[in-house]
Amino acid sequence: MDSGIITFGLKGASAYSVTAETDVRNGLPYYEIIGQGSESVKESRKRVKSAVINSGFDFPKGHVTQNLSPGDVKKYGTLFDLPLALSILSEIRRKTSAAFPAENHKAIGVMGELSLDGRVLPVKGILPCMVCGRNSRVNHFIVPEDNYRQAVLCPDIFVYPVRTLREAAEAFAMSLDLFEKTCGERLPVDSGQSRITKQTEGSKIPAPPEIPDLSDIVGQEGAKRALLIAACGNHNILMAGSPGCGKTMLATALRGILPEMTFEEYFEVLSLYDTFGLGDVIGESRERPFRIVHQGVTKHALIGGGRPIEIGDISLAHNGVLFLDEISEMQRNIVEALRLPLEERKVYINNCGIKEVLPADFMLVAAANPCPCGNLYEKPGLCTCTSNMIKTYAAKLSGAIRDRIDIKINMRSVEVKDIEKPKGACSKDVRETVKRVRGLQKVRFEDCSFKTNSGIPRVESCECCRLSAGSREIINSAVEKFGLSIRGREKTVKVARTIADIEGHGLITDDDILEALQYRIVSDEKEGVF
Amino acid sequence: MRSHEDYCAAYWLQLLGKNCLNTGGVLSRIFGSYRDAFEAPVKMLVREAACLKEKSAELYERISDESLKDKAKEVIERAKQLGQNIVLFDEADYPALLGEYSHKPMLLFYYGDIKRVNQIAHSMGVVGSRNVTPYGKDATVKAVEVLSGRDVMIVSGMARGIDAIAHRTALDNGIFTAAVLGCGCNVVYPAENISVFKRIKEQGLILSELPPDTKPFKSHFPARNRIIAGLSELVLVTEAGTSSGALITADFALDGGRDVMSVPHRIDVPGGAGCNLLIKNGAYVYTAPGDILQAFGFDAGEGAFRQISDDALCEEERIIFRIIQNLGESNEDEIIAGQDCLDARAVRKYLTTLELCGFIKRNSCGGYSCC
Repeated sequence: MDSGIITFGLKGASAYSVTAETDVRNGLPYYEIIGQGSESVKESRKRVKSAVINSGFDFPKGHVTQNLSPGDVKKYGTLFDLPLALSILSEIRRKTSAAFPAENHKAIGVMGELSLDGRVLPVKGILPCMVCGRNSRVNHFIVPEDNYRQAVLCPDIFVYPVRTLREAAEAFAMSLDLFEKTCGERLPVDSGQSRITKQTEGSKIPAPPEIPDLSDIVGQEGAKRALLIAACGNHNILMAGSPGCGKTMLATALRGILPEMTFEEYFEVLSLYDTFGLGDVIGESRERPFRIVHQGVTKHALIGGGRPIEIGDISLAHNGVLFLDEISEMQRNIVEALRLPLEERKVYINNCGIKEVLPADFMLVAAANPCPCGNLYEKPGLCTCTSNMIKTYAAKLSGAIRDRIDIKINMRSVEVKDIEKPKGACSKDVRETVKRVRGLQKVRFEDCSFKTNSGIPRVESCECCRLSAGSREIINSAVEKFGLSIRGREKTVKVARTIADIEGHGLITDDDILEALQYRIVSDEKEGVF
Repeated sequence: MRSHEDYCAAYWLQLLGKNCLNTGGVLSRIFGSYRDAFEAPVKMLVREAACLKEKSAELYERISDESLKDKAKEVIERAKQLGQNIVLFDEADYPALLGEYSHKPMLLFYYGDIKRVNQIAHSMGVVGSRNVTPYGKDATVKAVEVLSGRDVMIVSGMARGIDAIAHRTALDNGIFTAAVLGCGCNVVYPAENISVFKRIKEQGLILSELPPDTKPFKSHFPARNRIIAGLSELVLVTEAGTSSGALITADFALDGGRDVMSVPHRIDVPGGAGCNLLIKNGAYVYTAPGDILQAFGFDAGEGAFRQISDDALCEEERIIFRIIQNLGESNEDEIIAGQDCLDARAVRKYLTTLELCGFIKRNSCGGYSCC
C-alpha cells in the first residue's frame, strides 16, 4: 500500500515521524481513524470528509480506515488533517493515471489543519516538525501558508506553502524537481496577519512592562555593576533589599542590557514557543525572553506539566531570564522544584505516564526582602523584626537554592540627596560591553556543551579559570575566613572569570578575585541571615 | 552533700514559704534540721509557725496539706532521675556571692560543676535585648572576649540575643560561664539555643531554682533575673529597651549592692533607651573593653583602649575604612556614594582586602562594621 503520507506528532518540545495511511474496502459506508488519537484527532474525520468533498473530490464509498502509525503513541493536535486528507486522495488516485508520484510518499512531509470548506489552517509546532523531518532525510514540506514564515527559518529544506487542500494535492502531485522549483516562487501574501487571529492564545501573556534605562536608575551603582557581571556571564543573581529600593526596576532593566539571541538561540526559543502555540509572543524579535514570576505562582505554572503537556515559566524563559520577585514569599516546595532545572538546564516532566524533557536554560534573577518587615538593611531602628523572625525568614531560601546563586547583593534604599548625583552609564553602552564579553565566551567555549562562564562544570580542570599563586592564596584565605564552601569557591572563580573578561584580563587577576568575593553567599549558621 | 531525704525536706520547706527563704529557713532552724521539720507532727509545726511573722491562713493550710510533701518527694526524685544536682543555701558549694544576697533562693537545681563558682574570684553578669543589632553584638563579644584568661566568670540567662552571644563568646574563649534559667534545668528555652545549652552543660554551669520540667512562664523571668544579679559582681547591660528585663536585673543588682555598667546607645533609636537611662541614673559607662578590666581591678594595659591603627592600610583602603569607622556601620552603596575616587569595582576589591586583613567584617544587616 503506498497511500502513506509522512507527517509529524509533537512530544514535548520535539517531534516524531508519523505516517498517515488509508485503506478502503467494500462494505457499509464507515470512516474511522485509529492510532491513539486524542479527541481533536478523532474529530479530524468530520473535517477531512467535509474538506475532501467541498474541495470537489470524491470521498471513497465503503469502509474507510485510516491509521496514524506508530500506533502506540498518544497523538494530539490538528496537524494530521491535511496528511490524512492527502492519504485519502492518494488512495483514490492510486489505480488511476493521476496517481501521486511514488517517491513523494517518502520525501514530502505534510502538516496542516483543515477547515470544512477545504482551506488549510496554520498549526502549532511547525519548527520541531521541520527539524525532525530534516533529521530523517525528509527535506520537502507542504505547510499551511500562515506557517510559511516560521518554516523557512529552518535551513536546507524546501517548503511549499498551501492555502487549500486542492493546492496541497497539486503540490503533492508534482515531481520533486518541479516542487523544488515552484516552492521558491510561492511567497505568501500577508501571512503575519492571519496567524495572529488564529493563535490568539499568545495574547494571554501580558505585554512586558516598559524597559527602564540603567541611567534612569538613581544610585545603586554597586547593584548595577553586579547586574552587568551577571548579564555578561549568565550568572544567577539574588538581590536582597527593602521594598522600594529598586530591585524590580533593576531586574527589568536587565532586559535592556542583555544581547540579542543568536540565530540558533532564536530558533530554539521560537520552536519551543511555537510548539505550545505561543509563537507570536516571540515573533521576529530576537530579544531574550524575560519571564516575571510572582509569588503566587503554582508549581504547575512554573515547572510545566499536565496532560497534554503545558509549558512552564522556566521553559518559557529558555535562553532568557526568569525573574522570581519576592522569592522568599513563594511557597518553599515551589522554589525547591527549581533545583534540578537549575542544575541540568532542562526540566523533566513525568506526569501520568507522559515523560518529557523541555529545555530550561535560563538565568535566574531573584529578588527578596531580607526580613519580614523588609527594613533589615536600612538604617538601624527601622526594622521591627525579632532575630527569630529574621532567621525563619532567611531559612525559607534553602541552602540548595543558595548554592545555585552565583551573585548576591545587598541593597539599601537610595537617599533623597543622591537623586541629584550624576547618572551612570546608559543601557546601550552597557549592552555593548555585555555583547563583547559574551562574544569572548562564545569563542572560548566553542567546542563545549556550555556557552557561558556560569556553565563551566569543573572549575579546577578548566584552563581559563587557572589562578596565579597569589590569587590562589587570596581565595584560600577567604575560604578559611569567610567559611566558603567548595561550591562557594567555585562560584567565586566563575564570577572572577567573568569580571576578568569584562576588564579584558586574559588570566584572572587578584583584583578580579577580590571583587568576586564580595558577591558570595555565606549562610551563617548562628545568624541565619540572608 | 546531703541525703535525698534532706533535699525532699528542704524543698518542702521552700514550698511552704512559697520560695521565701524566711519561713522555711526559720522552721528548719527551730526543729534543728530539715528532716526533723519535715517529719514533725502538723500541730507542732503550726504552733511554731505561729511565732513567725507570716501568720497567714494560707501558711497553716499549706503546712497541713500532705500532698505538698508528696510533691516535694516527687520533684527531688525527678531531679535525681534527670541527673540534676541540688545545692542548699547552707552548703559550702552554694555560690558565696549569691549567699550574701538577701533574696537568695533556698535551693538550686543545677547541671555542671558548681564548685568552680566559688573558685573563680570575679563574676560578670551580661544581660540585654533579645533583639540584637550588630552594634550590640559587637559590644557584647568584645566585652566578654577581653576577660579571656582572667579570673572572671560570665553569668547570663541563656535567652535569645545578648545572653546567648555572651555564653557563646565565653565558651569560645575558654571562660567559665553560668546560665540561670527561668525554667527547669532540663528545659531548653528557646529551643534554638540547644547547642549552647549542651556546651554549657558540659563546660559550665546551668542553674535554676525551679523544679525539673518547669515550663518557661513569663512570670519566672524576673525571679531568674534576681539570681543573675545575685551571682554577679558587675552587671553589663547592652541594648536594653525601657521595659526590658535587663533593667530588672540591673535593679536587683543595685539592691544587692552590685555594680552596673551600661553600654551607651544611639539616642535616636528606641531599642537601647534603657541603657542610656541607666547611665543617666549613674551607672558606669562602657566605652572600651578596658573599662571592664578596670572595674575588676585588673591592669587594663594599652591594648584594651587602643583604637585600631590604620597605618598599615593603603590609601584607598584607608578611605573606605574611615567611612565605616565614622558611620559605625555602613553598606556598600553608602561607601560608593560616600567618596568620589573609587567606583563600585574598586570599593568591592578593597572591602575584600579589608575583610581578609580583619579590619572590617560583614554584619547581619547586609553592611560592614569595624572589627
